[in-house]
Amino acid sequence: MAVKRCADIAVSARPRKVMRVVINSWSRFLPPYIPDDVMFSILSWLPSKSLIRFKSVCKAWHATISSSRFINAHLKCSKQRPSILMVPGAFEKQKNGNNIAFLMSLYKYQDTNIMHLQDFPQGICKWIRPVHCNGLVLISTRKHEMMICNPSTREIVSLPKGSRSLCDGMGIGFGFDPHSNKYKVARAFYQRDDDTSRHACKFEVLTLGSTAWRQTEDPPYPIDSRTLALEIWTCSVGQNPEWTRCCTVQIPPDLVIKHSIERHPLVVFHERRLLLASYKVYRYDTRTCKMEKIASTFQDFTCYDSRNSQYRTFLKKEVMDFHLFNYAESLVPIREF
Amino acid sequence: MAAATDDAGDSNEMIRVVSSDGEHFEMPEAAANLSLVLRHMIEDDCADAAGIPLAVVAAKPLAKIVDYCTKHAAKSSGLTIEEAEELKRFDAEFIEVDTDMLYDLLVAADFMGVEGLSKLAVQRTADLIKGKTPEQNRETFGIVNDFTPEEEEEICKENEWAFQITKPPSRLC
Repeated sequence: MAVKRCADIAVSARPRKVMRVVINSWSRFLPPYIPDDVMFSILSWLPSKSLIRFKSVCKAWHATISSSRFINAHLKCSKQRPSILMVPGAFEKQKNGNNIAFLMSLYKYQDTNIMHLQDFPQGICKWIRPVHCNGLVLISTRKHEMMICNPSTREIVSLPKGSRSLCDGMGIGFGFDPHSNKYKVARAFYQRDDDTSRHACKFEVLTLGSTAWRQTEDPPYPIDSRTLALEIWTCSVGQNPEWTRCCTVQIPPDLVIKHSIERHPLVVFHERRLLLASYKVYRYDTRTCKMEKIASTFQDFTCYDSRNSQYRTFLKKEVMDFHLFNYAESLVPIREF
Repeated sequence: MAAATDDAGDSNEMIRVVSSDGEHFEMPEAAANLSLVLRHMIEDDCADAAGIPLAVVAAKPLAKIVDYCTKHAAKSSGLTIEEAEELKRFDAEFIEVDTDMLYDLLVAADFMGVEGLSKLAVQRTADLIKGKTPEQNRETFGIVNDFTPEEEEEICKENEWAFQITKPPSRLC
């Protein structure tokens, strides 16, 4: 029976009667038989790493785990188990103290455990804070190079380069559009306006799977990193997107990192709240307009050193930048879009 | 029929069920309603003094399921935070069973359509197998490896990192 089950993928059509016979007799004669829909649910609750390993169990499991129906079900379960992706970054120094590369690592924080997910051993230079959607993470650099990675499957795909910008790109968005069933990257950039010869903020969108960026309506307000107040605008979906202003948030001074360039804190929407984080974490309620500080437990972080295969702990001072955001691990493939 | 379709608060009526090995159990109607199969039987007026026969559920798992439904039916709506936590603790203790019982519960809860219990048993099973090797899973579920050695090697090679089960020594907090 078990042999047959393994070879047969579409088992949902199996008559209930056959199953009953097996259930009644398994305890004495046969290994346990689990109905396929139950097995499907069990697999849905497994971590991605286990699932990738279990693809080698048998052909039926391989087919199930690879199917888009399963990937969606698994993502749904994953979203019910809250986790945070932590991205510490630090300069790798030479003996003479010069910086040679900026290392970036991904860690997952879940149930008070911190798991190492992925490193970028070659280093990623001057990266902008990653953006997350359905287990996919958009990583981009100040030089406008972009890639999407899935830390749970370790798939990495480089994106086509966007329009040239006169300023370092800071305004980047990444999300899933349920209307077209596609993932989209949105990007603000600056061009010189021919009439006024001033910098004009433009907006373009890349649909994953396509090769070209598509320019859309300009944002109503320039997207700038050197500001002490945030303006939250929303854009409606549809043929003629409209921008609406939600609120203005004053950024507490201790959230602005004073480097050669000032960096504004990471801003994450969580229901009707905003999380603002750099070394400190603040919470802002958009309804009551209240800002409060959250105690942060992340004091220092480790980074994987590929040369001697060891984990090094970086003191807070050495970590140049640190991000965290809500994360749901998934098996969502990047290349198939 | 009228009794079954009266307002849901009328849960004093006891529903009798019979296991595959002939044992009789009783639970309040509200508890039985947590099972999709039993609810349909009650709605169709099949719940009589002789009891609803459950041909594929043996007495041992059925006793557990009756326990589960009775507990959850008593605390179904308007839970306080304490009550919700108590119910969570009950679930955690409830599912601490040996693997034979876990398999029985998996199959029986699925058959009877007890959604909460199905999820509980499924998550518990996932927890038990997540750290296992593919071979251990084949043994656990009686699955025959139908890959050729070459095919299997290719899959393993593709994702070598996923086969390193030991956790890296990176505790940060």
